[in-house]
Formats: sequence, structure tokens, C-alpha cells
Amino acid sequence: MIFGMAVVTFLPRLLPMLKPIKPNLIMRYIPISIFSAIVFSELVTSDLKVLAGILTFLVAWRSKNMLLTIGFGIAVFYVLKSVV
Amino acid sequence: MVKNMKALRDALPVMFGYISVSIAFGIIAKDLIGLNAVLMSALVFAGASQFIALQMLMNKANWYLIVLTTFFVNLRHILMSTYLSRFYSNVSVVKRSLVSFGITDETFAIAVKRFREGKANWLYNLKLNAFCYISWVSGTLIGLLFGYLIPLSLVDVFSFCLVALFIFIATASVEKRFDVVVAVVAGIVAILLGSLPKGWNIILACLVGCLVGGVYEWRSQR
Repeated sequence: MIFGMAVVTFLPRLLPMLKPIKPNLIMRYIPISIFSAIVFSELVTSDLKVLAGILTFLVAWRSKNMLLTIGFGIAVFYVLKSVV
Repeated sequence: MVKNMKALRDALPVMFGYISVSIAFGIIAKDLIGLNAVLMSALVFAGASQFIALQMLMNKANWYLIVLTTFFVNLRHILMSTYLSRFYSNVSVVKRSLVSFGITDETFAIAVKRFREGKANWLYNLKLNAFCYISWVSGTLIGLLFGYLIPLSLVDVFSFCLVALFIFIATASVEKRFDVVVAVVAGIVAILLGSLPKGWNIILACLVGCLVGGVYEWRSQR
């Protein structure tokens, strides 16, 4: 089972990499779409995460500092979980 | 040119999140598959599908169903690998293969950010992936061996680290106004399709996002 899982996870990672295709204007939107989709679908799993997520976004937007954003995110999520 | 330290520094937040999540994985996996959990982390290196595999094992699912589910959950890596390939046109096949093994949501996010800034090459990407990989595998082992010492609530808080990371990367990768539109559209699609089997909503949200972006580019070129 584990080896089967290993094969089917490796192939989607490997194959597109072996045959680089010419970048086009549509592909430009792959990263932002994926990041946003991951964030949104993760946040809606709980109200606390929505709230913590919005506050974290504000810090990310204003500070443009990754470590600060992550530190703040963990702290605010911890506080919210303790309080609520 | 690209120093070890830079890859390590960039990897640290991901490593922190991976350790937290993989410890949780080790704790849950202990009674189900024991030491094979480490083997799974080492060979599969994909969080979501590993947790789903455990869940399916609990429900006594057939092994080939677990493999099939794993395939679909991780199919989104095709999109990431396709995007990354643009930075690898002059890199040997062996190097490309090595890097591709370590592509995850998180390593992709960091690597794209650095490549776009012109501050990355294949070696940087490989090191970044390797650091994250080490933390994923060793976290699994820690969870197996010492999991009983670690409260799961703490693990849950620390795993928010990865969500915060994506919030930052998503925010930072906005380069022009229309990126915000695409981000919101993709996010909403991901939520609306949230009831689909795991992984599909991300793929479809990405495709819709690219479609909207593509239409915009096409119209603004005319």
C-alpha cells in the first residue's frame, strides 16, 4: 500500500517537471489561485480560524514580514482558542 | 551564490509547521501501522493524503482504494510542477527529478516566491525541500516514540503556522490589482466545492482562477 501511495504521489510531481512547457499568461495565475484556494478552504473549517485568518491577513498585508505574520498568526489563534 | 543558510531560513516556518503536523500524524498512526508510519512519511511525503490513508485504514478500506484516493488528493501537484518547470528549462533531468520529489503545497509556495524574486535556483529549491522533508520524517518518528508526552491541542495551535504561512504568501504574491480578483474567485470556488472529495476543490478552484485570469489577459491585450 505504502509503495503504491509513493508511486502515485511522485508521478504528478515528476512528470510535468520533465517536460517544461513554454510559460503563458494563463499559467501566471496558478500560484495565486492555489494559495488562495488552500487558505479559504482551510479557514472555513472553523469560526475561530476565520477570525484568526482575517487578523493574520491584516498583519501580512501591512507588515509584509513573513516571520512576524506567522508568529502573530500562531499567537492570535492560541489566544482565541484559550478565550473562546 | 545561493547559500545553505538562506534555504534553511526560508524553510524554518515550514519545518516548524511540518514537525507539528507530523507529530500528530505519528501519534495517530502508532496503533494502526507502527513504524511503517515513518516509511510512509519518507516515501509519500504528503500530509493530507497520509491522514486520509489512516482514516481509511481505520475503516478497513482496501489498499487499492487508499492508493487511488492518494492519487486524487495529490493530483494538484501537477499544477505546481507544471508551473515550476518554467524555472528548470536549463537544468538536468536528474536534478529536476530530485527537486520534484519534494514538491508540496508549502515548498512550492516558498520556492515560487523566491524564484519570482530572482533569488532561487535548483539547488536552493532542493535544499528547501530537503529541510522540510527532514522535519516531516523526523516529526513522524517523534510522534511515534514520544507522542504520549505531547498534548494534541498544542499541536493543533502550531499547525496554524502553515495556514498563516499561506495567508502571507498569498498576500505577498499579489502583483497587480487583478490578482486580487483571481484570488477571491479561486477562494470562493474552493469553499463552494468543499464537499467534493479532498483535493478536487483546489484543482478546480485553480483552473477557474486561471480561466478568469486568462480572460482578463486576453481582453486587456486587444
